[in-house]
Amino acid sequence: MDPVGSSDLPRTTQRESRTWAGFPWLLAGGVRWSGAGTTPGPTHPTPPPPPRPLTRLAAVPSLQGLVASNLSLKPGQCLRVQCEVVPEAKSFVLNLGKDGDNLCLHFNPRFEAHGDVNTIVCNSKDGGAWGEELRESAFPFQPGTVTEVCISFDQADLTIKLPDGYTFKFPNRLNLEAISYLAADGDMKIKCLAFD
Amino acid sequence: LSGKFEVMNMDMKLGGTLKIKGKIAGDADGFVINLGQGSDKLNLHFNPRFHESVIVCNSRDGNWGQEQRDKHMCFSPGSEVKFTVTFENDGFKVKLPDGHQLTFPNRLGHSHLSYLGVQGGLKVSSFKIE
Repeated sequence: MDPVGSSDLPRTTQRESRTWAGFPWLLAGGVRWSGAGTTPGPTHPTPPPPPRPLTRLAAVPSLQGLVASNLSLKPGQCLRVQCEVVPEAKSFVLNLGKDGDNLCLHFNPRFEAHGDVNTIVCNSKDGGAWGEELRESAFPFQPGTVTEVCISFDQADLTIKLPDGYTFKFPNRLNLEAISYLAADGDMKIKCLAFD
Repeated sequence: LSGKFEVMNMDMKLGGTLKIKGKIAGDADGFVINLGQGSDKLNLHFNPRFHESVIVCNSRDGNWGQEQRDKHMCFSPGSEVKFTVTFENDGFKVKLPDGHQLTFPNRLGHSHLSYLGVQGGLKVSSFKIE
């Protein structure tokens, strides 16, 4: 039994109102719950809902692409991804790593997105924190076509081979010894995955 | 026993074909290819068992359905295999490496499959959705 229980309620409400005031962006972006915009305080019988579901709603895209786990891709092996880029594609993403928060490669060809035109943006994510973006100007992708990239890695680098054969490297910042997670997103559909 | 290879948010529609290639471990007792909506909602559970020399198929909707057993075993531990699964109106057709075909009804009735899970002694080298 928790003796603090109900007598602690006003204090909890106050604490929550401070929390909300500290994160105003949680309330922006059209997300509403009853009581938003009014002054929370002890006069309100129910405290506002916890912020977690709201942030999840805002962060998860409506259409999540294919996710593959437990791949166990080892150094020296090559991951071949064949995908169909949708007509009028703006951008697509291939994420590789350990899980959604630990990516040794975020590979994001942008046809026209976030101010980039026909540019490949690569990055890494370590414990949920993005690293420094690198841009590659080679861009052998076209909307409405089937395309293929091959990715291999060692402790130092990931090597990405584009459909025209052009190859570039991205540093293996997380020093992952195996790639176990792959997620696709954006304007494409995976047709084939091969581990050679 | 190798880990469980899983694919979520797959887009396999009625009429679609899934091709899986892989290598069966030399010490494998068997393996499983699951297709469905999630790990607990399986339209097709395909489970070759080497020690019994049988391929067991089933469905799962929270609980297991009735097993279907087929004594046709045309592959063995250590071999490279390819399975072709077609997803049609009247159910699944699984083409085995020697061309023999197994059928299994789509008991759960979905027209879309989003989940693929592979467990046990099969190491997937490629999969393709057509």
